[in-house]
Amino acid sequence: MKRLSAEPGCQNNTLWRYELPAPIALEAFVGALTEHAWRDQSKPHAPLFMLTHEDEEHRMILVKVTRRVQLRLFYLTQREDRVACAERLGASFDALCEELLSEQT
Amino acid sequence: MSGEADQEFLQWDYERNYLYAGDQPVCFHCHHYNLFIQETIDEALGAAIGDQLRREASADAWRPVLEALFSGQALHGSYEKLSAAFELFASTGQGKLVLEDASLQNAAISSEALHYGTAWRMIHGTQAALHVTDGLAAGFISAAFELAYELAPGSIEVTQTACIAMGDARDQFELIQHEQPRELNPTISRARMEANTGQMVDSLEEETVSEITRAFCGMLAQITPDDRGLVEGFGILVTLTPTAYYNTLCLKVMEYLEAEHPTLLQVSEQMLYEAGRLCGFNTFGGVLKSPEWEAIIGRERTADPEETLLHTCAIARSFGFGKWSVHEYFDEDLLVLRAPATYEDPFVCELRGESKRPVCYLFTGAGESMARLAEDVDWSNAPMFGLDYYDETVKRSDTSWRAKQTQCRARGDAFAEVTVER
Repeated sequence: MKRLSAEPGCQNNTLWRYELPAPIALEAFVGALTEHAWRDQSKPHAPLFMLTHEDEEHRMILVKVTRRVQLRLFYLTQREDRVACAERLGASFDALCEELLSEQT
Repeated sequence: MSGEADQEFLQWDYERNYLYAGDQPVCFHCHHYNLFIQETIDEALGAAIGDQLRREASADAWRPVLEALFSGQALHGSYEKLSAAFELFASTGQGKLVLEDASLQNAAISSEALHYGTAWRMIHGTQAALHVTDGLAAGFISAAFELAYELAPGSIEVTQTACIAMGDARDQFELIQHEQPRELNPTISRARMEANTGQMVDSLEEETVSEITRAFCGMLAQITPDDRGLVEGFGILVTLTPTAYYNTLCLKVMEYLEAEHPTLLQVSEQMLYEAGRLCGFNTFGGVLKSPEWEAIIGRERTADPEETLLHTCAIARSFGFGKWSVHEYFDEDLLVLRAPATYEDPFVCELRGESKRPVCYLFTGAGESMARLAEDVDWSNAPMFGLDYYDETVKRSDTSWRAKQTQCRARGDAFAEVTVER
């Protein structure tokens, strides 16, 4: 099942939704992301996690209460590259999820 | 956004829903509104006069904010003041200015990204702008240099000599010092904003709206700019700007047309209405659809029209637009919005006294958008906020919502009121 899907917003193809598998805790996913080029910039006691990609400046927003996960491509990512870029990142999230799921079993 | 809610320099007035930097009212706006209002000014006045107006309005609006910053931090040296000023500019999402040479004789300022140029590229893609886009930055630089070198206000003119939106590699600015200072545009202080605020009003479900407003203000205070000094949040680029900047632009355009081309006055009023409508639709829509909003309300939002209206009021309040309130709502028929005042009418009251026409263009245009977001947007079908969706849902819509300002402080009424009818 494809977990990444387009979530069009103000800018075409910059917003993407990622369906985090239910068994994975949001905190565990955030922890895994921080080991793979994502910097956790969440504020203490904030109702969401906010991460920034260390090299490409993309952002991830993860809402604690609803588990909604949104990938925001950096706004100056070339329009023609956005889908490929999101899919590449989506594949990396899938790999992290598989890793976390295998650790649980 | 450098806007620690309770810090001394930047303060929210939760009673009237204004936000102040030092003594000056400031507000958040998105790149859609910022660029559209700029293009509206250029269409009304021409690009050359438009750019000059933006530079002057910006310098005069930012000057008292910078004065408060310098005195609050006890800054003395020119370089120290300029550095602090440029840091403030970046913290408000306007972009990062680079001080290449801080001397008055050879001053050189550049940037890799400013809000307006970036907004141009986000909206128009690779299409090059025909004119410079960053008059607000130019005006800010002139005020910063005047204060840093203790020169007469209005004696430094800054022009943009290179512009990324026009295809240049960097934005660049140059200074010209004039012996004779130009005439200044007035601003309005916190005390005068409060004095010109009308009768307090409450919204339907006031407690809920107030509670969400406070939560959203807290989140806005936590948003930080990226390395370019730009703030991306809720799917939009956001800035914090003195309201005197927007008010001066609108007031000057209307006064110029009234004097020079009275037949065009109504057209320009319509364009300012359109800027408000566009802003309300895309900004409020983008925020409501964002994960941040889910985090604030603690659940997924519903498509209930009244909930949408109340939430848009909370967004407007958090942005410093005033205490926008739903006074009456009958679905598919009528929406009445009220506010003790917006950020628009106290400015006109203070500087011009009474006006023959209502002056809350943002409130009125956004009022129509609020009704459309509540009733015409299919939230279950993942609306794609942006210009295409706006054209389809608002401009080419078969549903004829129309907003009119029915009460205005600037006309002597007790509060501001917008009636939206279908």
